[in-house]
Amino acid sequence: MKALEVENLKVIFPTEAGIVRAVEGIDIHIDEGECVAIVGESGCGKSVTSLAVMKLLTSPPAIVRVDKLVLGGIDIKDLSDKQMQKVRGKDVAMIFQDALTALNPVMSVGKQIDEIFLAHGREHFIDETGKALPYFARKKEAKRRTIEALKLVGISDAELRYRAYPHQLSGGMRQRVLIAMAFACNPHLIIADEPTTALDVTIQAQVLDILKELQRKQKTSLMLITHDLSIVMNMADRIYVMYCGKIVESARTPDLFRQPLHPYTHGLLGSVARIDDTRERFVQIPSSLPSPMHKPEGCYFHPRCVYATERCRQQMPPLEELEGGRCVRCWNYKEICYDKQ
Amino acid sequence: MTSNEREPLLKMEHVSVAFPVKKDFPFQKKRFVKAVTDVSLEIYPGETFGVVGESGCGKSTLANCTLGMQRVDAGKIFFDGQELTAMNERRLKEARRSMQVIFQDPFSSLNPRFSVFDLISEPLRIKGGYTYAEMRRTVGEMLREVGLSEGDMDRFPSDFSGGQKQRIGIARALILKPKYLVCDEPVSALDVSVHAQILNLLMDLQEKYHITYLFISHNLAVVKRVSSRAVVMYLGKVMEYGDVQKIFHHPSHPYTRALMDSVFDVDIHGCPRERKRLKGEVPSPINPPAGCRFCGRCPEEQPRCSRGEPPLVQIEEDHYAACFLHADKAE
Repeated sequence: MKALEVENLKVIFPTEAGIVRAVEGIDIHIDEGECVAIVGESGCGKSVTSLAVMKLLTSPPAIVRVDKLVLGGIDIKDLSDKQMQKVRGKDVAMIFQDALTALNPVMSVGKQIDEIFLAHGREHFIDETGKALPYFARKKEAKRRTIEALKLVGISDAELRYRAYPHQLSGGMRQRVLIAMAFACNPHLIIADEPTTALDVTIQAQVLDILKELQRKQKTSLMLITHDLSIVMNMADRIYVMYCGKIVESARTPDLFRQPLHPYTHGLLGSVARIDDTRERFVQIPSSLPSPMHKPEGCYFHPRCVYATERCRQQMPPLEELEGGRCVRCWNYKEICYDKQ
Repeated sequence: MTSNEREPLLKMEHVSVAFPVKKDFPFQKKRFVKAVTDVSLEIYPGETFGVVGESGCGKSTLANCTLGMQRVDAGKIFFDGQELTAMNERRLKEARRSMQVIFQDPFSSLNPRFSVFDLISEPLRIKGGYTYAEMRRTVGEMLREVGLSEGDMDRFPSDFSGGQKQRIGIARALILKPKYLVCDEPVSALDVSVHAQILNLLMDLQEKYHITYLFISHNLAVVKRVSSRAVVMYLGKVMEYGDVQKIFHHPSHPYTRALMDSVFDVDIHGCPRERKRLKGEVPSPINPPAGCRFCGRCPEEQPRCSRGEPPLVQIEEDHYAACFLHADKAE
């Protein structure tokens, strides 16, 4: 069974200045227990993709079209908002970038995690005879589970932290609370949208370790959205690279890092500074991202691509499937051979 | 390195800065955030000096001190042979002509109601002595220098992408041809594919104009690439200081090692390295741990670490570390 299957997802935002095609027909599938990363720069549509999967985009303004949207065996394509509320948090959960805005500032973190158990885990709150527990017993049980969940993400003095408000916790601690929340109901899929961008390097390493460990232990699938290739390389099993709302390359992590096929992926890998690096200059991708309202003709990457040909300027290349589960959207990937770095 | 024979452009001697904290109740003892404690360092002309550390370790306060924008509680700062800490406002203003800053976030450091020409020519107008035509010409030249075109002069910041805005910021900083430029996390707000462009531009401009950079970053890999000497800070104190190659090839302080281990690295062979993780979080700078600031998180802690502060000792030429592990060897 697949944790997530998305086919031909399109998201459009009509604005006064023009139509923004944020996501242009992408297919994503995530296996059970797999960690898949979606990599791209700001404005490439990676966050919109994740919100569309959660059905969190309000329309209007967003217009979402999808051929298939199956989450852990459940078809959520036509579910109403009310039905989605039962799915969110239980079958799919999200870890947001900024923990301070994601948490309720006037509610203790413990109470916030309690809510998830109380809202979704009704079937767990039964006594030996199979009868539902009374309200106060349910609350007590939820508190016990919350403290357990807080301990699981490495928060010391969990009983004490249960009563803490978000502002009393440090950035790393808040992110741990969000992780505890996401894993609370043991969902099929967790979407982590830039989970560590706001954190320091040492804390980032701690938080990602916990995320990876919990994901392995609970066999949850993880969709990691980030622009940081170094995180991806250490976390993900498979990678989708997005550019201007389209997937330009997808491959298993080691393959992608060993031999990037798309010029954009190659450029991205080259522009990352590495500690063991001896090169004098940074490899740079010329110019900057095109405006989402005025995407270029043909291949979206051609104005920035040093290998662009006449064909690239006129026609958008298809996403070609190669052996080993790789995909690449480029006319010339066979001819291009990158210098060995 | 021949740096030791040269006269430093900027020299800090035992600089400390503390900020008072608001009292919780009226008769409480005065408390201070010790942002920078006893920092001594030398920056040589034409080099890029890196400052590395986690947030709250005093990187930006240190940079503000070197610009004379932050009053110093103790210690002296010399810039180009003159004592910055003894200057009055008027003389500081003169001295600041040869210093400039590039800020982290180009979205908020450019006034949205100023055109590009207004933004870049403002330093010229403040300095005075330029005619309008001269300013137009100088700004145009500067724009081409940073990879924009003269035609961009009358557009507004909102017309530009993040990378281009940062280029405008660089043009504004360089218009008066400063000797010393503080780059406060110049790329961390930008897209990954633009990082390389901006860093390459900064390196090219340095070569051309022989500017000295103070390069603040939390990205160790970037600091290693662009700078020749660096300082690693933790809770306002210098942990390790000296030649970048020496710091990175044989890091001597446990904190530097831990910092390098926590960096997620892109490895071309696709296999993540095994690494040690640092436990816990940065303690509050109001009540830093007694003794060595790093004790409590240090994997190689000894009983004496919490008793006294380790001195900054020389390990080899142009490489210093503040750790008891090396204090013995020096004696």
